[in-house]
Amino acid sequence: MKDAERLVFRRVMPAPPARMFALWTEPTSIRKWFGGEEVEVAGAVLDLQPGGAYSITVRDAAGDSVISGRFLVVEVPARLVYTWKLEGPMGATAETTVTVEFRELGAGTELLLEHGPFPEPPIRALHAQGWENCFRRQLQLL
Amino acid sequence: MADILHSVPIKASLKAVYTAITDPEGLRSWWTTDVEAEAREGSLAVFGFEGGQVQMRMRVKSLSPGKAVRWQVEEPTPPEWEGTEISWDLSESDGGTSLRFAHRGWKSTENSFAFINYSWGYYLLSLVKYLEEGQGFPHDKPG
Repeated sequence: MKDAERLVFRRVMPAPPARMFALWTEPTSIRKWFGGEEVEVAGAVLDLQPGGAYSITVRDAAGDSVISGRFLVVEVPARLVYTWKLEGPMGATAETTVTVEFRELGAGTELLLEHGPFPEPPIRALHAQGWENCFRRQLQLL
Repeated sequence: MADILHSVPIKASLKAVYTAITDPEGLRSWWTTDVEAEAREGSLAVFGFEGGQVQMRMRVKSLSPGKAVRWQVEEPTPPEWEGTEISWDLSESDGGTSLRFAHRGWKSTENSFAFINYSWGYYLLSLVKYLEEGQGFPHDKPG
């Protein structure tokens, strides 16, 4: 994956990896942090195992969109790799891959997230804003 | 009345083109880096040029995701922009997007009309470069 097509985030979160992993994978938690102020999570279904499918439905002014994919790696509480496809009022994006790692750092977690490839810059920017919103909302929950 | 019209084929998805003309980060990447805007009907989008000395103020009249965007130019406007409207119409074409741009309602084709026509062509090419190659050439704040 070309660097320019990839999103990379590093965040230090004030909770241990087990708590972060749960926040990331429990539907009730996901509904609280996924999306942003103007995006409501209308549903989240996860089959948390390698090969298992997930889908998250989000609702905003433009209508409903579904983010779905499959888990490729599930290592509790350290690592998650899953595919990601966004289908909405403007059609579907090409499949991308999310890798998220939770590393113990003192009493907290060093969170590393990679997402891509995004060959289209505006779509990359849109996802960058989306993840920033997610991290901000996660911090409010911790 | 006179209208400025441009038809622009772009090798990018409808969603990418729509985002580039509605999302502030997208607008910053090809028109001007000085942008205050949100993708919401009824909002006011302000585009600054020359360190904020020149401002284009657009009321976002309508947003149809993946289809169309309408801006009404608001006062105070640069000379001759008063009462004009800008529209962006998108459609899928050959796996990419066909953009039809219009800046309508000019009272005269004297004075700045021809330059603004040139200017839209210049920035629409910047939009294409941003979408197809990842790098546009927006107006940048001095300093």
